[in-house]
Amino acid sequence: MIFFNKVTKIYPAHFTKKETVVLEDISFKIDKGEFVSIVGRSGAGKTTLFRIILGEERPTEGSVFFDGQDIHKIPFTRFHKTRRRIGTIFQDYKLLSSKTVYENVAYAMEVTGTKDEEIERDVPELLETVGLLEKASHFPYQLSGGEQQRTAIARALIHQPDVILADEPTGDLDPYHARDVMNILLRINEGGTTVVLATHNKETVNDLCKRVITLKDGRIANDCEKGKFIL
Amino acid sequence: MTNPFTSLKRVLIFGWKNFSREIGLSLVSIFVLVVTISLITSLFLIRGLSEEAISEVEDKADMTIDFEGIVSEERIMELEGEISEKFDIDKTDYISREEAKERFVESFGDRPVVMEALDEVGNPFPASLNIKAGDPDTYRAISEFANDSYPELIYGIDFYGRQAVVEGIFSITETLRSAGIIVSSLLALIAVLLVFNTVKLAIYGMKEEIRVMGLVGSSSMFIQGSFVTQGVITGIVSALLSFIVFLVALMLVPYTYMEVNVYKHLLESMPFVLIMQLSVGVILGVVSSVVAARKYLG
Repeated sequence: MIFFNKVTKIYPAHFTKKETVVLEDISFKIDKGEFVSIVGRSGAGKTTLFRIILGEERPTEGSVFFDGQDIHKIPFTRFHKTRRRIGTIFQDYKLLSSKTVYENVAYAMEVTGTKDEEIERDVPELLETVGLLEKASHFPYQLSGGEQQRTAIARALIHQPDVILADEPTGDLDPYHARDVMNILLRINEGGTTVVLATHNKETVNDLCKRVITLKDGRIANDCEKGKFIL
Repeated sequence: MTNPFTSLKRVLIFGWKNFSREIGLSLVSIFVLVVTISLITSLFLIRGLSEEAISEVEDKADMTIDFEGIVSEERIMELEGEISEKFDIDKTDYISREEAKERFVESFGDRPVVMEALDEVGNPFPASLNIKAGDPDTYRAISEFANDSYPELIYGIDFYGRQAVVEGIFSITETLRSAGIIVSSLLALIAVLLVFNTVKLAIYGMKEEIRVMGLVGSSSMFIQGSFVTQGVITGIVSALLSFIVFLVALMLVPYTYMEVNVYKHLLESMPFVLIMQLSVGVILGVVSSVVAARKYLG
């Protein structure tokens, strides 16, 4: 499903800053239906790795394949079609501030051209699942952190993507809401969706007992099935 | 397969929602656009009015050739024919000595003292030829031609008397025309840049949203479409407000200025002004939105 082939990402020197090597010679493969945790300290390169998958960054060297296609060779005008197959949950939620909870979630379906009837049927159903139906008409600034994160999760799931990229989805949440979010991700994975979770939360990773890729100083330090958070 | 009508409908709804929910930013953009459109409209109208005033002044310029008393009408007609042939002439008007006297009597017939004096001197009025040229610049050439070709006929040419004034007016109007074009273009350019920067700032505030829309899987066309719609709505609202400003101005302007019927001129320009304001508003709104949004789509 996702294949990193000797990927190196270097941010060039900039004024007083020296050249920064964020990822170095990274190679791994994630199969369809897998649940993979990418762990590492802050600044280990987890977010950059996601940004490369989403086409926001280009690798300095190497290539990244999504379903057999080199992501960075897909023309810009067609790239949105690849992004529609990926649902992304960001640590800072990245909700559209001028849209309500309902509209934020529906937006992911609307851009794909889904029929209005389907949107009107699926969005309330999913909002009920994540416990936000009553707040459907609220704007993001009217929600708590946990509610915003659940909105972001609903948005990432609504169009049934092949892959979920979750970047520190529990980072700003209390343990109760964090467990909620992890349960949702596990349920999605059980349904066959590939989940890639980036986190530095040790307990979360150890509780999962799933594959863990450990990044250290931009390199893969460890990649093991049913792994633990070891740094 | 995406239904283009569904996408269009959604783009229009998103554009309207962007406009109405970000009403603070929309109002700032509208204000700047109204100022710009009103400025462009007034530049256009002032240019139109000054063109009319200039033509009015130019229309007033003419020349009169006064002939010696003994010159026959045939010779005068001969000169008139040659002038008409050589130069671009709008109109000539021959006034015989008798006609000149009649006109004088018409004007001063009620003043016995003047009439008595006239009776004593007989007919002191020369025959004359009044000429209105198509191009006001040719008066000097006509005058030189008449003096050179028919010196024995000419008693005097009135153009010389007004020469300095007429040439002065032409020089001023020419300068006004050139200065008007330069000043209007500069002001219009400044206004357009002001609109671009305002819209750019408004969209800069939404750059993170634009990025997220892209990450969620929205195509560039879809994202830009909503900003284009927003630009169209802003442009139309601004144009309509500018038109109201124009109507208010219409009530305040003097009825006539420099013998130009200002009110009539503005009233006649109304449909064109509305179309121009709508075009300027929509084009500026759309182009600046597209250019600004494009920057954050990459």
